Amino acid sequence: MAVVEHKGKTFEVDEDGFLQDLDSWGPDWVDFVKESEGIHELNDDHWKVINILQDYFKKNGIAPMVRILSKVTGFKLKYIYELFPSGPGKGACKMAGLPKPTGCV
Amino acid sequence: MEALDFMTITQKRRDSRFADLITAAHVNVCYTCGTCSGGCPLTGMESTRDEHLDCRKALRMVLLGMEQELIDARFPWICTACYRCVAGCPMGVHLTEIWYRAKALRPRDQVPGVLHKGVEMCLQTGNNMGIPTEDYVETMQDLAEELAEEECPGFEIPLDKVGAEYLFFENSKEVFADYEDLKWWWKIFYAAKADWTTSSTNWESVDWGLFTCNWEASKEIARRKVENMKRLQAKTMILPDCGGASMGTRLNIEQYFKHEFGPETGHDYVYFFDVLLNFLQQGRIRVDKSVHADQIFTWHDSCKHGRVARIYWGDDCFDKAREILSYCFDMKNFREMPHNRMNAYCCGAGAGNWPGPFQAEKTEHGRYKVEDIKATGAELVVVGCSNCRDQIMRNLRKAYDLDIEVKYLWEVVADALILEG
Repeated sequence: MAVVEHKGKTFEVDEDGFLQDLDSWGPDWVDFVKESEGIHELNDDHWKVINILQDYFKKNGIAPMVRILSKVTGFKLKYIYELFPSGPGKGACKMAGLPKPTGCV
Repeated sequence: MEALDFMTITQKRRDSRFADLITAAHVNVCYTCGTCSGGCPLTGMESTRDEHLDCRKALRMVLLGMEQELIDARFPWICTACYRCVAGCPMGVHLTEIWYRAKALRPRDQVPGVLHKGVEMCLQTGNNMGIPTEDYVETMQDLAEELAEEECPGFEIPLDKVGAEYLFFENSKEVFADYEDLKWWWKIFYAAKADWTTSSTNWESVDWGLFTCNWEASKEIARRKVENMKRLQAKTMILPDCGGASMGTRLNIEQYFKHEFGPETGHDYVYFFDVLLNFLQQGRIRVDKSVHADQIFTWHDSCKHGRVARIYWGDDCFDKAREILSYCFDMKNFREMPHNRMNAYCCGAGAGNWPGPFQAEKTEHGRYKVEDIKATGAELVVVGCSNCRDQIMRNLRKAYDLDIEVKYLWEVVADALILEG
């Protein structure tokens, strides 16, 4: 199992670089992913997406469809891609500590 | 690695799990000319220096009894099954059959990334991403209402309509994430007044069984498509616009379900190119070229729709794509890539490499495609496959500072549509 280190903390990740266990998620993980995703500063909208993704995942065991995410946050799809340039399926889920979705996202 | 014992090679070959392919895939006539590796973008990549494999070496491994080393290697998984090696081989060696066998022999818990998980999810739920039917139906209806308000008054999603002319399958990544992209096909069907349907269950177009060489899964995914066609009494199944999915579906149809098609059954299958061309040629849709006026553009020949369809079935999607483009653009603005049609380079995302974990490899694989795109001087590259679109638009553009717009073929048709008021 691969391990990444960031600011003195270690995280176990899968082959795709996604967190192995949501329980080990924390602000340091977000900070680590932020850099690799090319996001300079996280704003309230980033956190809104992250929080909703985690809540939905904890209840349903899968990531929500982005249409649902868009409705709940009130953000248009284009804006979600602006927030997370590699996409809601890759960048946003990775930052939120969710597993990589099993589709061609 | 164990030292080779040349005294036992013949016996090792006989006992090999590749033994049947050594003759069936013509591996035994390979004279190591290197045409395969010379034409393969994987050869000499920086990101694979640790493994140091190429087509010719990998083929030798099978002949030298090193089958387990090949099964354990990354090489068969980063191969995008572009079929350049097969097309170029002067001896007709079916190299991809060897890589497929190596992938198939990999224990499922050692399949890279989320690929096997996606197969299991699809078999369990009917789509790769586990989208519940309720959410799917609601989303499709919601989007349809939106399209009706935006541009297509009265548009409704014809879910589970019985007896339609066309049966269409969705890519779960569009339903899950890129849902606005669904509207392009819907607009085209609307403008053509097409009688079409899509299923509320087992609607997934993609086939990760093909990507992981899980042939039983691939067959089951295709069987469900055929089952939907029969259940809904649809006349014509449109092979998925995803290149791998169209290949997987057609391979299985040809091998297992051929009897379900033909004049006596009332069922047929076509490529999406045929549908678009049919609509344009018969005047069922009208397009306005001026939408793309003065735009210098190029076309990316997807491996599965192009070279693979030609090698396996003698089809010509190359000309069909260019003919469709000629309706939507002034062809004086068209620039062919230096390597096109049978010589086209892969984008680097095929055979599961877009959703797969080998980021550095798929990016480096795409370098020749980038060179070809840049050589055209085009402002727009039109593509006919979702993985190709995403790889060029979301990966290669950034990685190679490639300043170009990327659109689907059906997207440029939809953009140029003249919708009657």
